[in-house]
Amino acid sequence: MDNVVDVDEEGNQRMLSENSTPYQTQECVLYGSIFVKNVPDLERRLAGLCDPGCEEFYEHEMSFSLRTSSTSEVKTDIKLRRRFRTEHQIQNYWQLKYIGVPEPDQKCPTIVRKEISSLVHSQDMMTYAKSLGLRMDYEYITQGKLWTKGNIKILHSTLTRTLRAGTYDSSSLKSMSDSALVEISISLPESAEYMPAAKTVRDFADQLMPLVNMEKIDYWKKMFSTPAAPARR
Amino acid sequence: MGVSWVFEAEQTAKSVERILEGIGAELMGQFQVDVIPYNPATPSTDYATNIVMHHSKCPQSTFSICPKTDFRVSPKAVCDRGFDLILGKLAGGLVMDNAGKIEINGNEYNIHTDWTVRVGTATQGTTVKGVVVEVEYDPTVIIVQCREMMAEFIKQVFNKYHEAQPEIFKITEKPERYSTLDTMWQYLQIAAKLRKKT
Repeated sequence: MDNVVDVDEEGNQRMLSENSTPYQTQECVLYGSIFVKNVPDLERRLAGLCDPGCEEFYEHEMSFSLRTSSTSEVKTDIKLRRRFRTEHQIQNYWQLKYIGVPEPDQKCPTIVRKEISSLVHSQDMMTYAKSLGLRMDYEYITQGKLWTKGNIKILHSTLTRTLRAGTYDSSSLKSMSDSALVEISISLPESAEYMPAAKTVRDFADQLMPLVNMEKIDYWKKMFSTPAAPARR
Repeated sequence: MGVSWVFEAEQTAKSVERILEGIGAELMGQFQVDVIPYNPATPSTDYATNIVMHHSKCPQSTFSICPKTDFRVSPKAVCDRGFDLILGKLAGGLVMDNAGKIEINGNEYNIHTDWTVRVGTATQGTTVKGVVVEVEYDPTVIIVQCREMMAEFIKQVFNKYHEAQPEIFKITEKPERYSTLDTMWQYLQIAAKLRKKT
């Protein structure tokens, strides 16, 4: 019996090798917020709904954009995220993430957008990012928990920013608001039909209802509606 | 894992393979390496060409090096294959140079388990540019432990090439663990040389 399973796994691995792209490059996402003092209530709710156990994270995210000498109107945003240095370990792994402009689909109950992640290891990530032509726009520190239910990801986190660039000790960190950010998402392969997944996300989000109102926030309208003053936010 | 020595052979791939079979090498399969330059869309002092490479030994990884004068100062990274997709999104700044792409295809041999030798023909588009040989010694990742033995091996097998050691072999101060990125740097340099060759 065990042998049969082994053979199967090998077969799968071969399928993934070389030029195939097993990457999930689409995501359906909803955003919401909750007061920090009510987060324990949310956690209790999630503990009942989700797969057992959750993952705590404390991460540093930087948002970069591609600066080309030609002043193109489309700005390519690249997020770079690392697990924050803890006392015990310094991890030098970074998550490089591209987030595209959302699909203009009115009927879809969630935001649908292109999203590509890659795990990157570099001895000097900042120099490397610079060599790709990326320049930093803003950064923040996020601390929270990740829950899963099947392939649904639920994240809630509080955001802080540093008052002095480059220093991240507790004395120079300042909380951004008294609310926590809640994000529910599903990742999908390249050209998969997103509607069923979007409905699953919506249905799940509705179960958190009195606590958090998960919305399809038109964040991009804010981003793109003021062409007079772009870039700086 | 292991330490690799990559060099360009003057012989044909066939004659190198015959030598290897003569010393009892076993054909393990095929291998493939590609070296793709990504050039800045507009010439700029801000950023330079980035070389993206794949090796069939690490099929799920992408190696990216922005070559400067030597390996240690070159910004570099090891990524998963999702990086290739992200690079496509950066086309506004870095454009894939298809004409400059070098592919190395060939056979992989195993000799007495510890040694892997890859013999490949390098092509740029449809033009054959040369023969590249990679000798990999598996048991260690410390160069000073195996440098002399590898030189001896190459001398014994080919009776040449052993003089021109890779740059990484000559560094004696603060030696670091050898990684696949070091192998890719050797491929990068050979590809740069081959590209100029007509």
